[in-house]
Amino acid sequence: MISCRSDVYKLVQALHSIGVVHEDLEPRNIVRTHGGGFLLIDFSESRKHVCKESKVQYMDTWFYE
Amino acid sequence: MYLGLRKTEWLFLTCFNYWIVCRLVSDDDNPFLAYSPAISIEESSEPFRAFLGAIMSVAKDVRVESSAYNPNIILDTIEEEQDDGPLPEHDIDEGSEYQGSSGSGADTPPKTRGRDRHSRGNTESELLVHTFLGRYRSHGSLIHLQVTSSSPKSPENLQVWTRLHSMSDNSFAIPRCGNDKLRLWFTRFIASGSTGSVWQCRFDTSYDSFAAKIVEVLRPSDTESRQRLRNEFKIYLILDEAYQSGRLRDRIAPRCYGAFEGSDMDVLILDLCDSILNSWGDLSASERYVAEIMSDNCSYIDHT
Repeated sequence: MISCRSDVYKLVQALHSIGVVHEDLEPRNIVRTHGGGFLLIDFSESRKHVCKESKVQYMDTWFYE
Repeated sequence: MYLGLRKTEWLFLTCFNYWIVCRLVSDDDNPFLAYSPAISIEESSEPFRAFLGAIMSVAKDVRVESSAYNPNIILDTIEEEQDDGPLPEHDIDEGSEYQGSSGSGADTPPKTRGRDRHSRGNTESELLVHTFLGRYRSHGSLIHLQVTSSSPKSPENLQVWTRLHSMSDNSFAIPRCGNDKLRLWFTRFIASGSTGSVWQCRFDTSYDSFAAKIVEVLRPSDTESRQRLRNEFKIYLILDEAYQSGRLRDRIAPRCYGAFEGSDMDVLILDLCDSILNSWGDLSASERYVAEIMSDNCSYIDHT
């Protein structure tokens, strides 16, 4: 089973990679799937972000330091 | 929310699966309502509680004389208008955009169906809640959708219908249910949030469960919630496009099956998931640390 740590992180990273920021990331907006993974919900506050891909990559590196 | 009036003495208020039975007390000095304490409204929607609180706040500390309900009372009935389906001017085809909610077609307020005055007794369990009728465009075809919070075993002549339109940019496909006349049943209230309430639901001919996020526009301030739901729907469109195009390898949100709008209600249909995290405490210490960092850096991304 994928750990929650990597799973939730990858969800947020993937969301950012397509230009969307969640804006309301909190436990109640993370759901468990029947298969044991996690998904993000409640995008009512979400919006597109305009940061460059390089900054998303920077976050990726920074998290694993 | 709809009101059913039984003559002049009894008032039935409904909101999804909850009923309040009120007695209209006639008093020259302090006319007021008395309601059944046996029916909880704790899980009723906030607008419903606000409405009930408003009408119940008219009189305080006034003695209520007991009275028995008379099952032989002759009920007022409201004849239902014949549903002839969508009017031609409201047809939506692939080459046109939905033009709003004007006119008397699909946005006509729900019609209360006539009650059978010879139906069984007065138990609350047999009283039905409301049904919603919608239609939407999905991959170019116009489909009718009925959505209800009534029990599937409920007599259909007690159901009330509201029509919804597909949102203009809805390109999602609904699950195949093997029936041209699709119906969606709200079967269980799950939760309410800042935007609206979430119900477990299922289509008429399938036992697969889905989640329906509902916003009721009962007052001007609810339009903000409606806008939040519509914003969320646009995000689901982005997510689906990214997934279908391969930019996302896996889904990062529940699958969306469409969004529908009416004069006073919006509905978003999603895959039903298992459960939510109750708190970051559900995670281990290291997981919480990562989650908090992620949350902080979402702001970093926004403002750099």
